Amino acid sequence: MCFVNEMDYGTPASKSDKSVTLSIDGKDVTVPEGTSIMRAARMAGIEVPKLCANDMVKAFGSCRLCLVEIEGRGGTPASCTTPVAEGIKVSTRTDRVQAIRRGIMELYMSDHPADCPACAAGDCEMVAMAETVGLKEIRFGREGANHIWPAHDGVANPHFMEPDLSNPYFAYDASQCIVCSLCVRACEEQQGTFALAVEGRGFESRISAGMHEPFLESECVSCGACVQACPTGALREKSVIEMGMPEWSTVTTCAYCGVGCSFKAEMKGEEVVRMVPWKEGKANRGHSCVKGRFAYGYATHKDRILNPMIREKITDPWREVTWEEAFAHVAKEFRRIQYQYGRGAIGGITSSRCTNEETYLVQKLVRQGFGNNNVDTCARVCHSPTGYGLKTTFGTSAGTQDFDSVDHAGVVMIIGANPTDAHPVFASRLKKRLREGAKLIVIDPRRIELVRTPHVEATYHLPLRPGTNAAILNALAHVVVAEGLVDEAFIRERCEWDEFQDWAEFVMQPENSPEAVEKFSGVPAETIRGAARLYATGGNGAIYYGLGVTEHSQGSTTVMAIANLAMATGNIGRPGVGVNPLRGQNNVQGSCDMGSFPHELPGYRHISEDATRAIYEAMWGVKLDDEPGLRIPNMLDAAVEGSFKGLYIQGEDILQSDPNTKHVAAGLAAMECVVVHDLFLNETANYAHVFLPGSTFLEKDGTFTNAERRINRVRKVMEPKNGYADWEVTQRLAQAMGLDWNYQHPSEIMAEIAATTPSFAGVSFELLEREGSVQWPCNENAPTGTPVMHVNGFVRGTGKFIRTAYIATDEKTGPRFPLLLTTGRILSQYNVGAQTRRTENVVWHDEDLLEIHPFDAENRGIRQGDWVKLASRAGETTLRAHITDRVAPGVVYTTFHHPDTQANVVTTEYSDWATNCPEYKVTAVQVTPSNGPTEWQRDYDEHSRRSRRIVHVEAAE
Amino acid sequence: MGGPLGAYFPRALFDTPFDYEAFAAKDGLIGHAGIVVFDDTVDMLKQARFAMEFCAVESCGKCTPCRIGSTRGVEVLDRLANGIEPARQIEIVEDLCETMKFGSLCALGGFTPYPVMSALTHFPEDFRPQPVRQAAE
Repeated sequence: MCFVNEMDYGTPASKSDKSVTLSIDGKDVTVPEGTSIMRAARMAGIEVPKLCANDMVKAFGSCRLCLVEIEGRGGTPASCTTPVAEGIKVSTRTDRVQAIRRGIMELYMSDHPADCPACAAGDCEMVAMAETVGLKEIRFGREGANHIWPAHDGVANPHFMEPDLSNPYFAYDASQCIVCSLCVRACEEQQGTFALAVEGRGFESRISAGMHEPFLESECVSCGACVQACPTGALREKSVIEMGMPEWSTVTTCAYCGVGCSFKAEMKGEEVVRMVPWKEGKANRGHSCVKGRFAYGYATHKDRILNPMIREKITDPWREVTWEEAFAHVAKEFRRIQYQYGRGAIGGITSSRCTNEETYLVQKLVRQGFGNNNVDTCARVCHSPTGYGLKTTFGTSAGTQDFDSVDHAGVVMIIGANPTDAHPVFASRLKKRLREGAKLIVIDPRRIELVRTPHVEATYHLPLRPGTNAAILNALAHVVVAEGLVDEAFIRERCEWDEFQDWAEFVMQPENSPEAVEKFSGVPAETIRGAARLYATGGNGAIYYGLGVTEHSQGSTTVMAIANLAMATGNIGRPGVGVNPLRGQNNVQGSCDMGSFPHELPGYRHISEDATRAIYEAMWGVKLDDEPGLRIPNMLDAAVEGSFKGLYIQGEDILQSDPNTKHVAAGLAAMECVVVHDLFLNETANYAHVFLPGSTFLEKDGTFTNAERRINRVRKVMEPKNGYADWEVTQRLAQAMGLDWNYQHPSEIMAEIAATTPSFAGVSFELLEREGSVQWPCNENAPTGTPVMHVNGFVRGTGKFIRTAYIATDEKTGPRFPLLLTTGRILSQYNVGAQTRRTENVVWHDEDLLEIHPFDAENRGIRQGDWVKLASRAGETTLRAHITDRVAPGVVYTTFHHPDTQANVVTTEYSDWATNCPEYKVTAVQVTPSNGPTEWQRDYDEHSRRSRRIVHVEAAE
Repeated sequence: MGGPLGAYFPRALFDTPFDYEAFAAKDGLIGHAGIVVFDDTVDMLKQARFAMEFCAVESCGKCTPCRIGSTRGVEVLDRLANGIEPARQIEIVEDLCETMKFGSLCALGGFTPYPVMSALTHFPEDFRPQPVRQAAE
């Protein structure tokens, strides 16, 4: 068992390419200019004592332990705040500085508990530091003014503060605080929330959240950066307080959003003590959010189903069975259905939550075992337009940059994304860049937090009417072309000039002018003009976008419009620019890469390509169907029609996450064998006949691919509580269906992926072990991967400009449904909430709320917190109203994290013209005061309760 | 000389030239160049304590030597005034002044030792335990 220990260099690295040589304690050291003496010393293997510095935040120089002497200079400068200089001779261990260090530790320890529990546990550096500097005795005693005792001799201690236990995940004990301000700086510099401050001054100084509030009530977003930074026991994970310090650790990848943060899973036996962000993780660079850092408790939640279950009818209670029985049953049913209704009557859905290897196996099972291409994935409902749009224009179905690229951006345009809630670690990196001076443009119907948040303010916010994205982008392009802001050299070199001219003529048409678009988008023409000028002229222009772009009837159009704009301004192919989809799920990029779509084999190769099929036909020993299979909505339609009867769903809850819930329910109910492979009895399982228990990311080996195409390792830290990792379950199901699969380890599956997929040709577990992670394409042209794509030209040859005419959605407001509903997410919850609702994260968000503008609320007599009915032509639901001007008049907004809200009962069946990605972001609705849940909600609740009954098997005698 | 963080000069140093280097050589400083004159009724231990108290009141709290040191300085001088292990308290005050002088981030903590140490060096009789002082009068 080993422990991943990370070197702390004390201060951040210098980016200078000039080097400086100096001498430290007689050793010659050469380091980049601007490096601190402390960091240079650590690089030379000399540890200067410190308490108030770490290499994640700027040096502060407050603890004064790191003082050194420099020959020829007076005094004792702090090595953390003093930069190196050519030829200086530094001494870190003179008698004078040693005496000062002892004196400082003596002062510190005079106000630190003698029986500090964190010191005893090894989670506090104070006792160890006192020993390091040779402190023998605290001559001041601990009877003087202090923060340690609640009362002394019956008199209350005015300095004492009660421990703050309000946050569910960590505790703040001010009595152990040394006011080093590392937490304050972590909150500012790493997280960018500015929730913490030093309150008071002098001896009174103490760390305080918000305006002297408990952490939970303050602006704190519980990212954990302060806890990680704290050198004492003042800020500690409650899990560490309860379980003690971890004994071993390994590096793995978070299973929440598409940022794909690297974490050290710190363990005690098979139990997770804490998850700590890994500094070498190239996606997160040592930062985290409340979900990845703390919300892993679902892995051991009592709701997890650990035994396979079967039932005849979905109205029956579940019956626990053995794995063998379950596999045999599914194999028999699927073969029966195929015999009875045809080879195409069954299909599979791969999971964006599972590993690349597991996803690859599910599509392989469908193509090789089911003999059809009826495989799809949840990316259908999120980023399928990204795949289509970027493939068409650039030639690859993925973002163009790595996350580090944002450090070089001059102007950032955020379209239809809310990074501080949905991609918080990327948001922190973005905010850091914005505080350094980069400019921001936000295109979003809602005033998202980034529009104005501490030390960050968008130069332009375009609060467009939902559904008018393509028009706005065309108007931006109109200004760029009209005002001569195009990068002609770039276009002539890398794109087709004729296509560009055709496109330029198109965007110059009067209906694409800002003045014309203002009329129906609601965005003032001058704002559009200003934003276009800023994007085109503000240096490196980077576009980041989310589901607010894709989940529209013109999702693919908008993605292509974004690509056009980036090409026209030359913002592709170097650090700091690019077109970047912020992908929702941990492995949604990977699941798309792995051939999860009905028309594509792994690596985005169309199923109709004979050469590609031949590769797999040779390896799998079967003839592959050369026609694309059914997409999820087609499967459901076919089920309702009676031609589609069996479905294997790995790790996705289509009933809750897909649009028009009633239609999904009808489709599932019409099938004869629905197999749900999941951690929990999710909403879809209410319509399932077989339940196969799944395993968590902590229980398996494999890889996830994040939004920057980065393939990160997932490492097993505990045995699967259900008995099998998900890839093993799929393999055993395949074996039961007669397939000759014999993978012993996921690395063998990756070897097969690499052998058959050109963009993954160089990927192997050995390479990932060596490099930490790589970004595809990774092959002989790019042996360690590709951080920035299209560097010397587009993957498809030349960049393709496409006309992106705006066509208004058919979903229109009218007298019955006068408001537009758009949907989104919140920081503490994730997707359908299956995991985060089973953690303490519910303290931040225990129900979905409907955001409504005060004007619309007043017109309807709705007050803050009232129950309201939200109705569309598809259905209705009730939830509570939250009155806020974050949304514009005419627009309402909600999240879909809670199944009892069922926001998707309301959303419609409209979808993207190219990819069927549902139009979640625009639904015409009416909002009226209500007394409580709708009939559908009550019926559904009862149905859920009944369909989750389990008859446990008698224990064997 | 030089404000609340200036050094106390005894009569013997009154001929020191008014000059930065000359004052520094005598462990004093020009500061804001103000002069306050005390007669022989002043209690220099109280003046030393006042310097520490001044530092504690004014401290911003950023660096440790000043934030905790000034408060501890007051406590130690109070113990000295109360005759508790006087020799030990003087040793502690001397060490504390070294820590504050060389360890503090800014001149507040760094100069507080000047009035304290000059009082102690030039007027040691005021730092002797009470009974001895009474006997001497």
